[in-house]
Amino acid sequence: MTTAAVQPTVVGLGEIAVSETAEDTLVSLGLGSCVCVAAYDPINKIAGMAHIVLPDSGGEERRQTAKFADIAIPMLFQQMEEAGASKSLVIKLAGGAQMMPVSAPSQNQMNIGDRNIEAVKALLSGAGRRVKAEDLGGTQGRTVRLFVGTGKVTVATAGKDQTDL
Amino acid sequence: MTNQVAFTDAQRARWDALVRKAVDHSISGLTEMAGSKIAVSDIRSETVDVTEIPEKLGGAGKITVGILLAVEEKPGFHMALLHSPEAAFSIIDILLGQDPGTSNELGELELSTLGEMGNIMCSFFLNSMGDETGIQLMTTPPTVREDMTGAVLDYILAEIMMDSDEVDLLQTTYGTDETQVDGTFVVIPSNEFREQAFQKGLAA
Repeated sequence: MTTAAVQPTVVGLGEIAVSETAEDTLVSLGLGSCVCVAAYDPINKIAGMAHIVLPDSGGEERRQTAKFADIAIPMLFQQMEEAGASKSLVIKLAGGAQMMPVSAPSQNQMNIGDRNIEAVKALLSGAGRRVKAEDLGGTQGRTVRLFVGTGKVTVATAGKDQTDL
Repeated sequence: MTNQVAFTDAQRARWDALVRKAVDHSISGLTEMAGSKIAVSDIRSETVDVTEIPEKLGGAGKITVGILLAVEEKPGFHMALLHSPEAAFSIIDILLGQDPGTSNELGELELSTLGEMGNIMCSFFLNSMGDETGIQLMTTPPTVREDMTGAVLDYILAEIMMDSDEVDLLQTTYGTDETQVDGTFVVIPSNEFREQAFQKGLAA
Protein backbone atom coordinates (compact mmCIF):
# COMPACT_ATOMS: atom_id res chain seq x y z
CA MET A 1 0.00 0.00 0.00
CA THR A 2 1.28 3.43 -0.84
CA THR A 3 0.34 6.60 0.97
CA ALA A 4 0.14 9.94 -0.76
CA ALA A 5 2.83 12.26 0.53
CA VAL A 6 1.53 15.16 2.60
CA GLN A 7 2.41 18.48 1.02
CA PRO A 8 4.54 20.60 3.32
CA THR A 9 2.92 23.70 4.76
CA VAL A 10 4.81 26.66 3.34
CA VAL A 11 5.07 29.53 5.80
CA GLY A 12 5.46 32.59 3.58
CA LEU A 13 6.70 36.09 4.28
CA GLY A 14 5.03 37.40 7.41
CA GLU A 15 3.01 34.26 8.01
CA ILE A 16 2.51 31.96 10.99
CA ALA A 17 1.51 28.30 10.82
CA VAL A 18 0.66 25.86 13.61
CA SER A 19 0.18 22.14 13.07
CA GLU A 20 -0.50 19.03 15.13
CA THR A 21 -0.61 16.70 12.11
CA ALA A 22 2.26 14.28 12.59
CA GLU A 23 2.87 13.83 8.86
CA ASP A 24 3.04 17.57 8.27
CA THR A 25 6.19 19.64 7.72
CA LEU A 26 6.31 23.38 8.22
CA VAL A 27 8.76 25.08 5.89
CA SER A 28 10.10 28.59 5.41
CA LEU A 29 11.71 28.74 1.97
CA GLY A 30 14.55 31.02 1.00
CA LEU A 31 15.08 33.05 4.15
CA GLY A 32 17.49 35.90 3.65
CA SER A 33 17.32 38.70 6.19
CA CYS A 34 14.08 37.23 7.55
CA VAL A 35 14.18 35.17 10.74
CA CYS A 36 12.30 31.90 11.21
CA VAL A 37 11.12 31.00 14.71
CA ALA A 38 10.46 27.27 14.95
CA ALA A 39 8.70 26.22 18.16
CA TYR A 40 7.77 22.69 19.22
CA ASP A 41 5.87 21.16 22.10
CA PRO A 42 7.42 17.67 22.40
CA ILE A 43 4.75 16.42 24.83
CA ASN A 44 1.72 17.26 22.73
CA LYS A 45 3.61 17.18 19.39
CA ILE A 46 2.39 20.58 18.28
CA ALA A 47 4.60 22.66 16.03
CA GLY A 48 4.57 26.33 15.14
CA MET A 49 6.59 28.49 12.79
CA ALA A 50 6.78 32.23 12.20
CA HIS A 51 8.49 33.82 9.17
CA ILE A 52 9.45 37.26 10.46
CA VAL A 53 10.33 40.02 7.98
CA LEU A 54 10.89 43.12 10.08
CA PRO A 55 11.82 43.78 13.71
CA ASP A 56 9.28 46.28 14.95
CA SER A 57 5.78 47.43 14.05
CA GLY A 58 6.29 50.66 15.94
CA GLY A 59 2.92 50.07 17.53
CA GLU A 60 1.09 51.36 14.46
CA GLU A 61 -2.42 50.04 14.00
CA ARG A 62 -1.94 49.34 10.28
CA ARG A 63 1.11 47.22 11.07
CA GLN A 64 -0.55 44.70 13.37
CA THR A 65 0.54 41.73 11.28
CA ALA A 66 2.92 38.82 11.72
CA LYS A 67 5.46 40.44 9.42
CA PHE A 68 6.81 42.18 12.51
CA ALA A 69 8.67 40.38 15.29
CA ASP A 70 6.86 42.20 18.11
CA ILE A 71 3.51 41.05 16.71
CA ALA A 72 4.52 37.63 15.36
CA ILE A 73 6.17 36.16 18.45
CA PRO A 74 3.28 36.59 20.92
CA MET A 75 0.86 35.62 18.12
CA LEU A 76 2.79 32.39 17.48
CA PHE A 77 2.72 31.37 21.14
CA GLN A 78 -0.96 32.31 21.46
CA GLN A 79 -1.91 30.23 18.43
CA MET A 80 0.10 27.27 19.72
CA GLU A 81 -1.54 27.47 23.13
CA GLU A 82 -4.97 27.68 21.49
CA ALA A 83 -4.06 24.48 19.65
CA GLY A 84 -3.29 22.81 22.97
CA ALA A 85 0.45 23.33 23.31
CA SER A 86 2.03 23.66 26.72
CA LYS A 87 4.31 26.55 27.63
CA SER A 88 7.34 24.23 27.53
CA LEU A 89 8.44 24.76 23.98
CA VAL A 90 11.66 23.86 22.21
CA ILE A 91 12.56 26.97 20.25
CA LYS A 92 15.04 27.14 17.37
CA LEU A 93 15.97 30.12 15.20
CA ALA A 94 17.41 30.47 11.71
CA GLY A 95 17.91 33.26 9.19
CA GLY A 96 18.91 36.89 9.63
CA ALA A 97 21.51 36.87 6.86
CA GLN A 98 23.05 40.03 5.50
CA MET A 99 22.25 39.71 1.82
CA MET A 100 23.58 43.13 0.77
CA PRO A 101 27.05 44.42 1.68
CA VAL A 102 27.16 47.16 4.29
CA SER A 103 29.60 49.69 2.90
CA ALA A 104 28.57 52.99 4.38
CA PRO A 105 27.34 54.21 7.76
CA SER A 106 23.98 55.13 6.26
CA GLN A 107 23.50 51.51 5.30
CA ASN A 108 23.79 50.27 8.90
CA GLN A 109 20.18 51.12 9.49
CA MET A 110 19.34 48.98 6.49
CA ASN A 111 20.94 45.84 7.92
CA ILE A 112 17.62 44.23 8.52
CA GLY A 113 19.04 40.77 9.20
CA ASP A 114 20.92 41.90 12.31
CA ARG A 115 18.00 43.98 13.49
CA ASN A 116 15.65 41.03 13.08
CA ILE A 117 17.96 38.76 15.09
CA GLU A 118 18.31 41.31 17.84
CA ALA A 119 14.58 41.92 18.06
CA VAL A 120 13.62 38.24 18.05
CA LYS A 121 16.13 37.34 20.76
CA ALA A 122 15.08 40.28 22.94
CA LEU A 123 11.41 39.42 22.59
CA LEU A 124 11.97 35.75 23.40
CA SER A 125 14.14 36.62 26.38
CA GLY A 126 11.55 39.10 27.58
CA ALA A 127 8.91 36.37 27.36
CA GLY A 128 11.10 34.01 29.40
CA ARG A 129 11.66 31.68 26.43
CA ARG A 130 14.99 29.94 25.98
CA VAL A 131 16.45 29.30 22.53
CA LYS A 132 17.76 25.75 22.22
CA ALA A 133 19.55 26.09 18.88
CA GLU A 134 20.18 28.72 16.24
CA ASP A 135 21.71 29.20 12.80
CA LEU A 136 21.75 32.96 12.36
CA GLY A 137 23.57 35.64 10.40
CA GLY A 138 26.05 35.00 7.61
CA THR A 139 25.49 35.95 4.00
CA GLN A 140 23.56 33.00 2.59
CA GLY A 141 19.90 32.19 2.21
CA ARG A 142 18.37 29.32 4.15
CA THR A 143 15.38 27.00 3.93
CA VAL A 144 14.10 25.79 7.31
CA ARG A 145 11.92 22.72 7.85
CA LEU A 146 10.17 21.66 11.06
CA PHE A 147 8.85 18.10 11.08
CA VAL A 148 5.70 18.01 13.19
CA GLY A 149 5.88 14.31 14.10
CA THR A 150 9.37 14.49 15.56
CA GLY A 151 10.17 18.14 16.18
CA LYS A 152 13.29 17.82 14.05
CA VAL A 153 14.43 21.08 12.45
CA THR A 154 16.67 21.15 9.39
CA VAL A 155 18.41 24.02 7.64
CA ALA A 156 19.46 23.95 3.99
CA THR A 157 21.56 26.53 2.16
CA ALA A 158 22.03 26.88 -1.60
CA GLY A 159 24.51 24.36 -2.92
CA LYS A 160 25.07 22.68 0.45
CA ASP A 161 23.69 19.65 2.25
CA GLN A 162 20.81 20.00 4.65
CA THR A 163 21.85 19.91 8.31
CA ASP A 164 19.96 19.27 11.54
CA LEU A 165 19.55 22.20 13.89
CA MET B 1 -2.27 47.09 5.46
CA THR B 2 -1.16 49.61 2.94
CA ASN B 3 0.14 53.09 3.14
CA GLN B 4 0.91 53.33 -0.55
CA VAL B 5 -0.19 56.21 -2.72
CA ALA B 6 -3.20 54.86 -4.59
CA PHE B 7 -3.34 55.17 -8.39
CA THR B 8 -6.37 56.27 -10.29
CA ASP B 9 -6.90 54.28 -13.49
CA ALA B 10 -5.40 57.12 -15.52
CA GLN B 11 -2.40 57.34 -13.22
CA ARG B 12 -1.98 53.57 -13.37
CA ALA B 13 -1.89 53.66 -17.17
CA ARG B 14 0.54 56.57 -17.12
CA TRP B 15 2.78 54.82 -14.59
CA ASP B 16 2.79 51.57 -16.61
CA ALA B 17 3.73 53.47 -19.75
CA LEU B 18 6.50 55.26 -17.88
CA VAL B 19 7.97 52.04 -16.52
CA ARG B 20 7.70 50.21 -19.86
CA LYS B 21 9.47 53.06 -21.59
CA ALA B 22 12.19 52.93 -18.95
CA VAL B 23 12.59 49.18 -19.42
CA ASP B 24 12.92 49.67 -23.19
CA HIS B 25 15.50 52.34 -22.52
CA SER B 26 17.45 50.09 -20.16
CA ILE B 27 17.53 47.34 -22.80
CA SER B 28 18.88 49.86 -25.29
CA GLY B 29 21.68 50.43 -22.78
CA LEU B 30 22.34 46.71 -22.87
CA THR B 31 22.56 46.91 -26.67
CA GLU B 32 25.25 49.56 -26.34
CA MET B 33 27.13 47.38 -23.88
CA ALA B 34 26.87 44.25 -26.02
CA GLY B 35 27.63 45.98 -29.28
CA SER B 36 24.83 44.00 -30.93
CA LYS B 37 21.09 44.54 -31.11
CA ILE B 38 19.18 43.38 -28.04
CA ALA B 39 15.45 43.96 -28.09
CA VAL B 40 12.50 43.42 -25.77
CA SER B 41 10.06 40.96 -27.29
CA ASP B 42 7.60 40.90 -24.41
CA ILE B 43 6.85 42.81 -21.21
CA ARG B 44 4.20 41.69 -18.72
CA SER B 45 3.57 44.09 -15.85
CA GLU B 46 1.39 43.82 -12.79
CA THR B 47 1.11 45.23 -9.31
CA VAL B 48 1.15 42.44 -6.77
CA ASP B 49 1.14 41.92 -3.03
CA VAL B 50 4.72 41.95 -1.76
CA THR B 51 4.31 38.58 -0.07
CA GLU B 52 3.30 36.97 -3.39
CA ILE B 53 6.50 37.94 -5.19
CA PRO B 54 8.56 34.80 -4.44
CA GLU B 55 5.75 32.53 -5.66
CA LYS B 56 5.27 34.67 -8.78
CA LEU B 57 8.93 34.04 -9.56
CA GLY B 58 8.77 30.28 -9.25
CA GLY B 59 9.02 29.86 -5.49
CA ALA B 60 11.15 31.24 -2.69
CA GLY B 61 13.45 28.22 -2.69
CA LYS B 62 14.29 28.33 -6.40
CA ILE B 63 17.85 29.35 -7.24
CA THR B 64 18.10 32.68 -9.00
CA VAL B 65 20.79 35.13 -10.04
CA GLY B 66 19.87 38.58 -8.81
CA ILE B 67 21.41 41.94 -9.60
CA LEU B 68 20.31 44.31 -6.86
CA LEU B 69 20.55 48.09 -6.88
CA ALA B 70 19.14 50.74 -4.62
CA VAL B 71 18.78 54.48 -4.48
CA GLU B 72 19.53 55.25 -0.86
CA GLU B 73 19.04 58.98 -0.98
CA LYS B 74 15.49 60.24 -0.93
CA PRO B 75 13.09 59.80 -2.63
CA GLY B 76 14.40 56.20 -2.65
CA PHE B 77 14.05 53.42 -5.16
CA HIS B 78 14.89 49.71 -5.34
CA MET B 79 15.42 47.70 -8.47
CA ALA B 80 16.26 44.04 -8.98
CA LEU B 81 17.02 42.13 -12.15
CA LEU B 82 16.41 38.42 -11.74
CA HIS B 83 17.30 35.56 -14.05
CA SER B 84 17.59 31.82 -13.76
CA PRO B 85 21.24 30.71 -13.70
CA GLU B 86 20.84 29.39 -17.27
CA ALA B 87 19.44 32.73 -18.46
CA ALA B 88 22.22 34.60 -16.67
CA PHE B 89 24.83 32.47 -18.44
CA SER B 90 23.13 33.20 -21.79
CA ILE B 91 23.31 36.94 -21.10
CA ILE B 92 26.95 36.71 -20.10
CA ASP B 93 27.75 34.88 -23.34
CA ILE B 94 25.94 37.59 -25.34
CA LEU B 95 27.69 40.41 -23.51
CA LEU B 96 31.13 38.85 -23.78
CA GLY B 97 30.60 37.91 -27.44
CA GLN B 98 31.06 34.23 -26.64
CA ASP B 99 29.45 31.20 -28.23
CA PRO B 100 26.21 30.16 -26.48
CA GLY B 101 26.95 27.66 -23.71
CA THR B 102 30.43 28.98 -22.97
CA SER B 103 29.59 30.33 -19.50
CA ASN B 104 28.56 27.79 -16.89
CA GLU B 105 29.59 29.26 -13.54
CA LEU B 106 29.74 32.65 -11.83
CA GLY B 107 33.42 33.45 -11.53
CA GLU B 108 34.99 36.88 -11.15
CA LEU B 109 34.58 37.78 -14.84
CA GLU B 110 30.96 36.65 -14.94
CA LEU B 111 30.03 38.49 -11.72
CA SER B 112 31.73 41.62 -12.98
CA THR B 113 29.88 41.37 -16.29
CA LEU B 114 26.51 41.03 -14.55
CA GLY B 115 27.37 43.90 -12.21
CA GLU B 116 28.20 46.13 -15.16
CA MET B 117 25.02 45.04 -16.87
CA GLY B 118 23.10 46.07 -13.74
CA ASN B 119 24.87 49.42 -13.65
CA ILE B 120 24.05 50.20 -17.25
CA MET B 121 20.48 48.93 -17.27
CA CYS B 122 19.65 50.68 -14.03
CA SER B 123 21.28 53.95 -15.14
CA PHE B 124 19.34 53.92 -18.40
CA PHE B 125 16.15 52.99 -16.55
CA LEU B 126 16.49 55.77 -13.99
CA ASN B 127 17.57 58.30 -16.61
CA SER B 128 14.38 57.56 -18.51
CA MET B 129 12.33 57.90 -15.33
CA GLY B 130 14.18 61.12 -14.56
CA ASP B 131 13.49 62.55 -18.01
CA GLU B 132 9.78 61.88 -17.57
CA THR B 133 9.37 62.97 -13.96
CA GLY B 134 12.19 65.43 -13.34
CA ILE B 135 13.37 63.31 -10.39
CA GLN B 136 17.06 62.46 -10.62
CA LEU B 137 18.18 59.26 -8.93
CA MET B 138 21.65 57.80 -8.34
CA THR B 139 22.06 54.16 -7.41
CA THR B 140 24.39 52.22 -5.19
CA PRO B 141 26.90 49.90 -6.88
CA PRO B 142 25.19 46.67 -7.91
CA THR B 143 25.27 43.54 -5.80
CA VAL B 144 25.12 40.23 -7.66
CA ARG B 145 23.86 37.20 -5.73
CA GLU B 146 23.19 33.62 -6.72
CA ASP B 147 20.96 32.19 -4.04
CA MET B 148 17.38 31.21 -3.29
CA THR B 149 14.88 33.70 -4.75
CA GLY B 150 13.35 34.41 -1.36
CA ALA B 151 16.74 35.14 0.16
CA VAL B 152 17.85 37.37 -2.71
CA LEU B 153 14.68 39.43 -2.50
CA ASP B 154 13.49 39.45 1.10
CA TYR B 155 15.86 42.24 2.06
CA ILE B 156 14.27 44.47 -0.57
CA LEU B 157 10.77 43.26 0.16
CA ALA B 158 11.31 44.00 3.84
CA GLU B 159 12.27 47.55 2.95
CA ILE B 160 9.11 48.06 0.95
CA MET B 161 6.93 46.38 3.58
CA MET B 162 7.79 49.20 5.95
CA ASP B 163 5.51 51.47 3.89
CA SER B 164 3.48 49.38 1.53
CA ASP B 165 2.05 45.99 0.66
CA GLU B 166 2.35 46.25 -3.11
CA VAL B 167 5.11 46.24 -5.65
CA ASP B 168 5.40 46.60 -9.43
CA LEU B 169 6.59 43.41 -11.07
CA LEU B 170 7.70 43.40 -14.70
CA GLN B 171 8.56 40.16 -16.41
CA THR B 172 10.37 40.52 -19.71
CA THR B 173 11.68 38.48 -22.56
CA TYR B 174 14.54 40.00 -24.45
CA GLY B 175 17.61 39.04 -26.39
CA THR B 176 19.27 38.95 -29.76
CA ASP B 177 17.79 37.39 -32.89
CA GLU B 178 19.55 34.14 -31.97
CA THR B 179 19.12 34.01 -28.19
CA GLN B 180 16.02 34.95 -26.20
CA VAL B 181 16.25 35.34 -22.42
CA ASP B 182 13.52 35.51 -19.78
CA GLY B 183 14.23 38.04 -17.10
CA THR B 184 12.32 39.80 -14.36
CA PHE B 185 12.52 43.39 -13.24
CA VAL B 186 11.31 44.13 -9.78
CA VAL B 187 10.78 47.87 -9.61
CA ILE B 188 10.12 49.31 -6.20
CA PRO B 189 9.70 53.06 -6.02
CA SER B 190 9.31 54.49 -2.55
CA ASN B 191 6.09 56.20 -1.56
CA GLU B 192 8.00 59.44 -1.62
CA PHE B 193 9.07 58.85 -5.23
CA ARG B 194 5.48 58.17 -6.27
CA GLU B 195 4.26 61.28 -4.49
CA GLN B 196 6.91 63.42 -6.15
CA ALA B 197 6.15 61.84 -9.52
CA PHE B 198 2.48 62.71 -9.12
CA GLN B 199 3.33 66.26 -8.16
CA LYS B 200 5.60 66.62 -11.16
CA GLY B 201 2.95 65.64 -13.65
CA LEU B 202 2.69 61.86 -13.65
CA ALA B 203 -1.05 62.29 -13.17
CA ALA B 204 -1.33 64.38 -16.32
